[in-house]
Amino acid sequence: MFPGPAAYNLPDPGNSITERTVRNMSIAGIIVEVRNGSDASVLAGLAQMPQISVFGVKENQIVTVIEGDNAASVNDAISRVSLFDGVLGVYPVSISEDA
Amino acid sequence: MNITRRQLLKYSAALAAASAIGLDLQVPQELLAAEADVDKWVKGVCRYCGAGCGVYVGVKGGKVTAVKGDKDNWNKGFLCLKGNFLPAIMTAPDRAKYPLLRKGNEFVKISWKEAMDLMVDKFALAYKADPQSVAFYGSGQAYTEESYFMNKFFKGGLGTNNIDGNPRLCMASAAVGYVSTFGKDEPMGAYDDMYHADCFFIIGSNMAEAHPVIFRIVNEQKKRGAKIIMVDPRKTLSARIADLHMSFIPGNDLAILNAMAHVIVKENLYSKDYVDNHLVFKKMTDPGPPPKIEKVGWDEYVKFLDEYTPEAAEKISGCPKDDIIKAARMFAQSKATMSFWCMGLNQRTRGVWANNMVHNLHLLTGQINRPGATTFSLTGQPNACGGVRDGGLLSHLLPYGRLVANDKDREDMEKFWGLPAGRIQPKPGPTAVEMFRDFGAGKIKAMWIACTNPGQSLPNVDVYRKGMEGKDTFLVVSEAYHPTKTSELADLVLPAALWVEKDGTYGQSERRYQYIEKAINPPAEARPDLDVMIEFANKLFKALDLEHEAKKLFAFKTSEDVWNEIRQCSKGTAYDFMGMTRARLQKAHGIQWPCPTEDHPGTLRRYTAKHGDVLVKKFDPQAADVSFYGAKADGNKATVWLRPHKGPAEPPDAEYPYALTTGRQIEHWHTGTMTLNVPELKRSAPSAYVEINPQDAAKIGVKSKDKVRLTSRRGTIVLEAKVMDVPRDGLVFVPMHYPDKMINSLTNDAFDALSKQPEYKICAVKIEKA
Repeated sequence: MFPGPAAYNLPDPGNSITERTVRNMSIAGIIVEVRNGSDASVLAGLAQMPQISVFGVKENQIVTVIEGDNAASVNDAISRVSLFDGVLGVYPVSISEDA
Repeated sequence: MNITRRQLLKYSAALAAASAIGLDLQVPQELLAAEADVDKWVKGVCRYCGAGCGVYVGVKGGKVTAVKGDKDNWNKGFLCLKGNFLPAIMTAPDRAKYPLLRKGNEFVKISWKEAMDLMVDKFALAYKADPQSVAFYGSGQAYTEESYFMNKFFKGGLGTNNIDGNPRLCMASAAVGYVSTFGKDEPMGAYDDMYHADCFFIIGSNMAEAHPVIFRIVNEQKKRGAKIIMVDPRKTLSARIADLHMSFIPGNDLAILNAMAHVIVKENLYSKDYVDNHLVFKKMTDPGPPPKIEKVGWDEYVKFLDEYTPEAAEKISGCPKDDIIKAARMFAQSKATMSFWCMGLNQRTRGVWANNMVHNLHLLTGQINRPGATTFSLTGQPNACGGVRDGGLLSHLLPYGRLVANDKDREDMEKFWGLPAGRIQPKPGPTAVEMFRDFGAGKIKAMWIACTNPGQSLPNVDVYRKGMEGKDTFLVVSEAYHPTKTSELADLVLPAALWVEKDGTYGQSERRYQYIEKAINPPAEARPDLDVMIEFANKLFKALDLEHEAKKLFAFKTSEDVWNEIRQCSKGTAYDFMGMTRARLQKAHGIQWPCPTEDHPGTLRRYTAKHGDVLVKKFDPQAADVSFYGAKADGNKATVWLRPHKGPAEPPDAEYPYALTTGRQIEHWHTGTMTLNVPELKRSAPSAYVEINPQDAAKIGVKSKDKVRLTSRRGTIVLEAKVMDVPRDGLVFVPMHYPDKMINSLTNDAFDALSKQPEYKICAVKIEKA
């Protein structure tokens, strides 16, 4: 669903927006949808990512929170999770940013 | 318990995600109490697509700092990637903050009074010379109240139908498709149908990227056993969950739809009840204008389908006959089939026909008017349905199902608006492409564009951009951002309040109307469009010595005043919003029309009394359950159309051997004025590219990241190649969002004769290594 890491090798488009650059905490509530029988392998993959906490699983949906220094790093993590085998979709439910 | 800010945000995020899927998450009470660590949460609707996701907007210190999905709304708390980054669009550095006047190649800041005086002078001068020389081009992103007001101002006040909007470019074929089949516009079903469907027929829509929150529910149903048929010449992200992906030569899906009907009829998979009791059959004998229509019988329809065997359709479309047969059986034999489509059908020179043919399949099989069985057009913009289709902002429409060409409808509206008889003109005005042609030709002298970006979004755009630069014409652009590819061409730019900087009503794809509360003030001197429209209308009428009429016509102070008139205007029609008071909308998580009384809960499914449509009894008292009451002239029956196969206006040929199609990426929306202002989204998807099939890439001799030149009969563009097995061979795809690489320089402005919607989706191009 999200572009692969290759997309992130492109140069940063730049950011002159001071209100955004001062943010240093970005936290997102995310649902990771997985194929039947893929829960365990996806959970194992998530456990390897220190910025991700798992809060529960229900019917092939994993409730996670992704933390990052900014929304771009959260987006990077979403992108990586979306490429895990067995992941059908990654759906952000909320994103908060704060200094 | 000592709660850090990080812990608070973390638990809040987990709670939002858990509650979205009904997972009972134990959260410390202290955290729950602290969750509301914004100054306030304000209820609204997402600013982007027509899905209409309910949101809460967090405000702190007068700024939008957070957004979360409304778990009590249909989207159950889910938002897509774009929706979650909404706060960043409010503080973008290119927000328009002051009225700007063009002086040569520069824009200079002027006061609102100077701006308004100049605009009144220019429009009054043009209007006095010729009342048909002024125009307004609106938007499916404007609030319902704004669109209604402008419609009343132009069609009723000024007596000109020179008013159209960008939904002409995205939804007109769907609207004319619904009207020509069912008698009235808009889907009869609801998102709730997804939870009852066990077969989804998705054609011309990449829902996973364009409507991700709706697609999530389809995905859920897939996990519960529903089957997915996907008809698309690209192997999109949506197609990865398909049980049957039907690829075809672009522009040739009409043959597939007729062949599916052929199989349904030959294999007796049709509903005799629907054929006998709820349907009429028609064919167009002369395209006109006006088109000549003839009623025919079932036997003629069966004979018409004879030539569309699966084998014949395979020859035309390249789609394997076995897939066509399989799809027809899955469609007809499921417990409940729900269809979705979007621009892949609408943006076509036979867009209306394609829409009719999807409806045909539902009507023939009786896969309609019960939970899960419905024919559902997805919408691109948040208020294309509410403000423009329902409200009648298009040049041939009057509000709530009325037509300018219909004598009684004009008379009704003249009485309702208190106008002298004959004020509303009987001839439909120019449609989007025609309007910009007229502007370029100087036939229209003064034009106001609000809340949209035609300088990038029109097909064959370079031609119309030249027209917008006209020396003898006057162009006003109301925008939240400047410069855009349209505002850069304006004579006068008016800074507009954006989204929750003003209040108003959106109506989304399933007939759900939702109120958006004002959360913050607009920046600097930006103003809500409705305030500017009301002020301008009053001042123009004063300049035209029509002040006495203005007092009667434009006596609105707030958007609620306008909303209350809208409710009255819809009263007694097949829409009927009377029960949707502003107070109810403020509390509710959307209400679906018809909603005729204040104690009415709204209507989940139309045209079926058994499932709660009270208007069946009003318009068709004899009906036991199903009644297509919008089609009174056909005895409240829906129409199955005999539509022959027809390919695109500009198929590939020896000189231009590839088909070009355009569309969305998940990160961006429309012309990117909002999403390209979100650094995170821009970083993820920074620039345009062209998808090329590996076989074609080998033929041309290009690999990923090579620069290639795409050329159509209208324009040329250099893009980076992405060689991938997504488009079928012979097809290339370019995203439509990027102002520095405007793919609409190449697209075709040929349009559907019935809907006047252009064929963005297919044109012929050649590709060379750059």
